Amino acid sequence: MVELSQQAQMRLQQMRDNYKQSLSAKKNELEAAWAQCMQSEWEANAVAKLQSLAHKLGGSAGLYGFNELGEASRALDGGLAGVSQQADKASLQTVLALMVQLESQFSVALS
Amino acid sequence: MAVLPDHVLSYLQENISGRLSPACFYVDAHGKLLSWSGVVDAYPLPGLEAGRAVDEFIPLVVGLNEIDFPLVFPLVGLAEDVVVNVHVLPRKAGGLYVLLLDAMDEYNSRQVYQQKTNEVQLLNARLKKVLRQLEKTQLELEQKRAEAEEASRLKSRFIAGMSHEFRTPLTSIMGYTEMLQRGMLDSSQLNVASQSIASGAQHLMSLIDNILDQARFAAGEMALHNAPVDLVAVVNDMQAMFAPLAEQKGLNLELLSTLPEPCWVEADGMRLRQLLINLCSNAVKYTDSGLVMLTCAYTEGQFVFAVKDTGPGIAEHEQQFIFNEFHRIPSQSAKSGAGLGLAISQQILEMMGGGLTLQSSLGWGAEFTLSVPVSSLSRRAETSRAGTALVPVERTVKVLVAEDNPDVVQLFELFLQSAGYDVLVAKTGQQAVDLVLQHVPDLVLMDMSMPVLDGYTAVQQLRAKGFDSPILALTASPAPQDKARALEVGCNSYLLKPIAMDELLSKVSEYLCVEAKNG
Repeated sequence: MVELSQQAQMRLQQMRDNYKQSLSAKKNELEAAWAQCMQSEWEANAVAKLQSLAHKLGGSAGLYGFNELGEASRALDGGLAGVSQQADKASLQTVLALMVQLESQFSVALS
Repeated sequence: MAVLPDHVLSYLQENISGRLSPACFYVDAHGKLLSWSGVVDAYPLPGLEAGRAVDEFIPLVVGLNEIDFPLVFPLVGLAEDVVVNVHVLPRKAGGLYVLLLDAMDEYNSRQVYQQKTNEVQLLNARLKKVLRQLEKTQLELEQKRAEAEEASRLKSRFIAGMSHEFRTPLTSIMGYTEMLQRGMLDSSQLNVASQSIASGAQHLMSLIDNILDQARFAAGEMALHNAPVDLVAVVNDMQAMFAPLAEQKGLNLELLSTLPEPCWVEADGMRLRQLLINLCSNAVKYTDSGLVMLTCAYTEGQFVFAVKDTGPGIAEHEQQFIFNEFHRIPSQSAKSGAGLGLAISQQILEMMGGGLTLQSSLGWGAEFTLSVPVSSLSRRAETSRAGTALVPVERTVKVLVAEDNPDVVQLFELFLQSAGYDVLVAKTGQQAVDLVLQHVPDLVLMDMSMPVLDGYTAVQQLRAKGFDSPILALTASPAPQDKARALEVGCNSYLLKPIAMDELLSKVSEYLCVEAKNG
């Protein structure tokens, strides 16, 4: 592993703190996108927005030490892949379970 | 029989003669042609001459010099595809009459009839084939319907089972939350409430995990992600994880390990832990007093982990059902979960190529033993542990990071710059293409899912324009087809998000070294 200079270490710490602070906003954004999906009954654009947010979080959370949060986001990202207005009840239940899991990981990460 | 009137007879004669073109040949007792009469010109009989043997002109009449009854040879072929009926009649003066009657109409009708018969047979054969296909389709449909009904039945059972499993902890959580909100609990009850809410939430969490695992298995999306794992650390974790619960219940939890320390193997660490947690959790949950013993060993490429308890044991007739989904032991239903843990374990082990066995009898505890083939990595892990600290690069090496997520970019930038690389950043696939062509970096880290132009297209464009330095794909998708697609469009390798920084740097360095050697 490359050794970080003191300055880089400080910057890394700052980035981690910033990321942790940004989680609350990320959570709100995801919840708003989720609400939009529910309201629009899983309209394609709303689902794509939620999936894009989950995808981004899935790609970054693990890098900042929030492994479970990242994993739950990626699971939601994957679970949303086949979801549309024609989705059956079982798929939506799975997505709901994935969102519950993500919410719970947010609670852990933000605590 | 009365004789027909003359004019009827003459009509018949004319009609039949016109249609059948009768030609009569007179033959003596030695088979020699004497003379002929009738419509002889209607038939191709080259070299027809009195005194020659009749069978030179008309086949089938060979050796029929003396007969005393008429004979008919139907549909006899002459030259030029002419078909006739040959009638042979005895002559009173000795010898024969050979009468030729045109049979082309009859022959053609027969041909048409035969053709129609063939067509009907062909249609029959086709009809039979269609019927067989129809029967097959019907069978398949019935089978599909049965499968759908079975799936629907399982789903209903699953939902019924799940709603019960969710309701129990939720009732407790909601009840305590309500009391807390209303300030109905005194200080001594607060502790009980918080513990109950925490354990209820924990239970719900593990239920959700199990449901998702089950869904992944059902969708065929469950995949193993092998990486170096220290088995010693894994089993020590089990002891640390379950010791508090065992102590709370007054149980002895013992670990007997013959694993060499450390014991690095290549395996999916997360799934391996999940397997051991399922077994340990069941043992501690169902044992009210006595001992839970964990034993583990690694021999000949097999990791063997056994959990033995002094719990109530499992009756022999129950043992065949215990690995089925949603199965609960009736006598232990108060303690049962969703009935998914062992079924999932079994499925994971199947993927790993391992197995799970049970030895138990009612009243005498239970012993679950799992064995998993895992390849030893001792030497590799040692090398890696000994430290392959990346030496910062000597010359300025340009690395382009194409990634639209700023949270990821800034971290990559920090580590890559700390390792001495010159970092360029592109936020879209199009920007990546432009920057690469402008700056020609030594290596590209390409996120495959980006706006404007995705990574796959960007890589394709770069390779088409002759950019031949390494491109490493970054993606969150573990699906093998995505990996294959990335390699197909021209990426050299593939990094799965989330990526540990040392893994990223090691991969970058590996590809730059390869490049340097090749270059």
